[in-house]
Amino acid sequence: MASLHTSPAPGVEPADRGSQQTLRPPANPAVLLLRRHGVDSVPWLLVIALFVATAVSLDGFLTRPSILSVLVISSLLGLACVGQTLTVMLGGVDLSIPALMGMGNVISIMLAQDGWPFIAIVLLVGAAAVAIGTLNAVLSRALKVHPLIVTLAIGSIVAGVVLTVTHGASVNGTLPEWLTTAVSPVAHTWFIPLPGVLVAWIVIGAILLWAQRGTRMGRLLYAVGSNPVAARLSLAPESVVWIGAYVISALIAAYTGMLLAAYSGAPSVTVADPYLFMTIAAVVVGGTSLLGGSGGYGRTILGVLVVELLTTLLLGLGYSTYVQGMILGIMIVLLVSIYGRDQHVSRRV
Amino acid sequence: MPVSRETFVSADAGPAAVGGPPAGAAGDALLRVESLSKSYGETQALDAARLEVARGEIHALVGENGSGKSSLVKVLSGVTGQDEGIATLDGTAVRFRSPADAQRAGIMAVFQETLVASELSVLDNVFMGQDRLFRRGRSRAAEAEASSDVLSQLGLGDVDVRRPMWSLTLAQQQLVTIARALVQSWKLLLLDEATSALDVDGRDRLLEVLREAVGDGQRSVLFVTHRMDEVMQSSHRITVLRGGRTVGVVRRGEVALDQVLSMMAGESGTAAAVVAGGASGGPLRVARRSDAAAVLRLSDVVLQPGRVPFDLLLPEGGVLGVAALEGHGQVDLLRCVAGISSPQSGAVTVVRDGREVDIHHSRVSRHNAKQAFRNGIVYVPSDRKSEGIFPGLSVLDNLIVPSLPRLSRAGVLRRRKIADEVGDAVRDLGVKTASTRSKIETLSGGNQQKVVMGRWLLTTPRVLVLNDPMRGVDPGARRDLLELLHEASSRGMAILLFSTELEELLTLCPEIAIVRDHSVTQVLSGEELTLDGLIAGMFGQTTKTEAVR
Ligand SMILES: Nc1ncnc2c1ncn2[C@@H]1O[C@H](COP(=O)(O)OP(=O)(O)OP(=O)(O)O)[C@@H](O)[C@H]1O
Ligand SMILES: [Mg+2]
Repeated sequence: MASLHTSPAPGVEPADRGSQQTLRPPANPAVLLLRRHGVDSVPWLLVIALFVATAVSLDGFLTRPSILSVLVISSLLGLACVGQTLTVMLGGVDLSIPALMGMGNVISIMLAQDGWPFIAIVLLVGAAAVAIGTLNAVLSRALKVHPLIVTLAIGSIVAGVVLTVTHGASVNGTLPEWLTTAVSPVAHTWFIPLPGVLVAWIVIGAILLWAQRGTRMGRLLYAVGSNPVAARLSLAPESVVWIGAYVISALIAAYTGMLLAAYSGAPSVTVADPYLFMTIAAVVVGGTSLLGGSGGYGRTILGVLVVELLTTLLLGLGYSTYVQGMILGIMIVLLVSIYGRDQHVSRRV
Repeated sequence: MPVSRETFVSADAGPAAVGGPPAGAAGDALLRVESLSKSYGETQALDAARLEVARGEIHALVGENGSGKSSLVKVLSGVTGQDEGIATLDGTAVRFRSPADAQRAGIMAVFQETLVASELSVLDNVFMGQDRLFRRGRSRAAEAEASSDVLSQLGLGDVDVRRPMWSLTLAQQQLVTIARALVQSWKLLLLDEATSALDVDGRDRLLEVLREAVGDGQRSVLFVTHRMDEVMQSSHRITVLRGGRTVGVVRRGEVALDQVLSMMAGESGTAAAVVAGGASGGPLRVARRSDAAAVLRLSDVVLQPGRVPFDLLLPEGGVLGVAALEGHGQVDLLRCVAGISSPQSGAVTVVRDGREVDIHHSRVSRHNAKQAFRNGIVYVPSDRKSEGIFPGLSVLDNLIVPSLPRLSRAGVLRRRKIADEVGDAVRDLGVKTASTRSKIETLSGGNQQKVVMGRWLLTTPRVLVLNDPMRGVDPGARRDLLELLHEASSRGMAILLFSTELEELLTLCPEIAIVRDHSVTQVLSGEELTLDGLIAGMFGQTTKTEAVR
C-alpha cells in the first residue's frame, strides 16, 4: 500500500487532481472547497456566487415571492432535465424533449377545451409519451444511429403531427384550477407552503438521487454509459436501460409540458423550444459528461440553479435574451474546458 | 537467504558482460533520475525514486503492482508532471510538459493501456500524431514503405496495413503501438508492459528488435514487465521499485531471480512463499478425478469453415488449460463456450442437474450468452481497457455489475451484503486501492486486472472461462490468484484457462489443450506437460500426429 502523504497544512487535504503547486494554507472557503473536491465543487461555487450576485444587484430579490418564482422556473427546467440527464449518462442525448413538452402543452389544452376529463388527458398524454420514448430508444439501438439524429427526427415528427392535428389553430381551453395554481409562486400544496411544481421537483429529484445510487437500474445506467462493451459482456440488460431512460425522459417531458401550459397560458407546440439548449446547458454546467457514465441528477440540479439564476440576473440587469444566450454559451465553453482537464490523457494510459 | 534491503550497483562499471555489454562508453548515462516524487491525492506513487539508464542498455524496471512503474514512465514521457525531483537526459535537466515535448527530446513511450484509434487503419495508427493538420506528413506509399520493415520484424508482416485497427487482436494492437514508437527517431524508448499480451513468439521477436536497436550503443530501452524470464534474458540491468522507492539496482546475471522477487516484495509473506517455491512456486495441479461428472462438453465443434472438428470435455472441478500462438482461434473457442460467439458447427453443452443444455440454442448471440450465464458459465475478457473496466465508476461498482440481480432485492441494492462481499473480494484478490469507492482508473494496471477477475468470481460461476486473466499482474499476486483459482476448483468450479504465460498454465492445469489452426490438435497431460512440449505443440512441431478425436 502506498504510504500516506502528510499534508503541510493539518486538516487540509490536497486536491486529488489539479495543479501540483505547493500547498499553502487556504485563503478562503472557496479555495478550500476546490482543494478538497477539485472541479466537483465548481457548480456549488457557481450557485453560491450567482445567488450572492443576484441578491446584491437586484433589489427585492431576497423576498419570498421572487425567490419562489426563480424556484418555479427552475422546477420546470429541472423536470425537463430529468430525461436529458438520464440519456446523457447513457452516452446519448434526447433532443425530442422540447417537442414532447410542446405536445403535452397543446394536447392538454385542446382536449380540456373539448371537455375531456382531466384524468383521461393525463393517461393519453402518458401513453403517447411512452410510445415516443420507446421509439427513440429502439430506433437508436436497432439502427445503430446516434440518438442525436434519432431524437432530433422524432422530435420534429412529433411537433409536425401535433401541428397538423391542431391545424395550427389557436386553442384556449381551461385547465383544471389546481394545475394553474401548481405553478403559481404564492400557492400552497396541501399543507406545504410551496407551489406544486416545486414539490413535484423535490419529490422526483429525491427519488432520482436515491435511485441512481441505490437501485440496480441506477448502477446499470452508469455501467452501460461508461463502457457498453464491458456492460454487454457483464450481461447487463442494455435495451431495458435504454428504453427505461428514454421512456422516463419522454413521460416527464410531456407532463412538464402540461405544467408549462398552466404557466404560460398560451398553448403552442414551440413554447418549449428554448428548453433544447437549456436542458443540455444545465446538464453540462452541472458536470455530467456528454461521453456518458459519469455525473448524475444531483449535478443537474446545481446546473439548473446556475442557469436560472444567471438568466434572472441578466434579465434583471436588462440584458436581452441574445446576450443571455451568449453569456450562457461562454460559461459552457469555460466549464467544459475545466471539466475536460479532468479526463486528461494521463488518466487513460 | 536474506537479501539486503537495498542493493545498488553503480552504472560506472557499465552493464553486465553477460549477453554482451552495450557498445557505449562505460558509465555514460543517457538518463538519470534523482529523488523523483509524485503523489495522487493521498497516494504517494513515487517516493524519491531514482533510476539510471546507460547508453546502449536495455534496462528493466520491475516491481509489484502499484509500486509506481507506470507513474515513473508517465513522468518521463511528459504525460504527468512530477512533484519533486529531477531527470537529466544527456546531461541536461529536462522537465516535459507534454508527450510531444518528451518526443522532441528523443523519448518515445508505449503505455500500459494500449491507446489506439480503432476505426482508423493500421497504417494510420502507426503514423498517428505525425501528420500535419491538413496534409499527411508523407504519402501513404512512403508510410507503408517506411513501416513495412518494422512491422515485419515485429511479426505483423502478414497484416494488411489498410485493415481497421479494431479487426486486430489485442496482441497485434499492442505490436502496432510499439511500431508507432519504433518508426520514429528516439534515443530512449519506454515500454510499459508492452509485452503483456504477446505470445512467446511475439515476445522473442520484440526482444530481438530491441537488442538490435540498442546495438549501436547510443540508444537505450527502459522496459517495464512482470515477465521475469524476459528480465533475466534480455536486460542488462534491473531497477526494482517498491512502494514508489527504488530499492535496488542489480546487474542481470549477478543475482538470482528469487532475489529480485524478494526485493520486489520486501518483507511481505507472499514473497517468502514465492521464493520458497522457486520462481513461480510449485505446481498446484491436481489430476482429474475420474468419477467427476462432466459439466461442459464440446462435440464436433468447428470454429471456422474447413477446420478440423474437435471435442473437449470439462468435468466438475476440472481445470483445462488452453495454449496457443496468437491468432490460432483460441479466443473464438473461449467465446463459443461462453455463448458470446457461435461455432461454425457442432455443439457446446453444459450439464445442469443431469440435463444437457445447448448453449447455442438461439441464433441471437445475446441470448446464447444469457443462456451460458444462467447456467453458470462466465467469461473473463483479456482486454481490460475496452472490454473489462467501467472507467469513472468505483472499484465497488466495477465488481458488482454482473452480480446485481443477486445483490439486489426488488431492484434495490442490498448495501450491507454488497459491502461485505466486495470487502472480501478486495482482500482475497489483494487489490491495492485507497478505498472501494476509489475510481477504477486510479488503480494500477495489475490491480485493475484483479478487479476484472474478481467481478466474475463474485458471480459464483460453475464454469470460469478465462482469457489471459493475469495480464499485468505481478508474480507474487499471480501466485495468490492461481491459488485462489485452485481452491475454487477444488470446491467444484470448473476452469477453462487460456494464458500467454505458459508457466501459469503449467502451474494450474493438469491438462492442456493445444489450439492450432482453429482446432484442438492435442491435449497434453501428466508427463507431457513441459514447457518444451507446449511450445513444440503450439508451433505444430509434434511427432504425435494423433488428433484428439
Ligand atoms: N490517476 C491516479 N489517481 C490516483 N492514484 C493513482 C493514479 N494513478 C496511479 N495511482 C496510484 O499510484 C500508485 C502507483 O501506480 P502505478 O500505476 O505507477 O503502478 P505500477 O507499478 O505501474 O503497477 P502495475 O504493475 O499494476 O501496472 C498506485 O497505488 C495507484 O493506485
Ligand atoms: Mg503499470
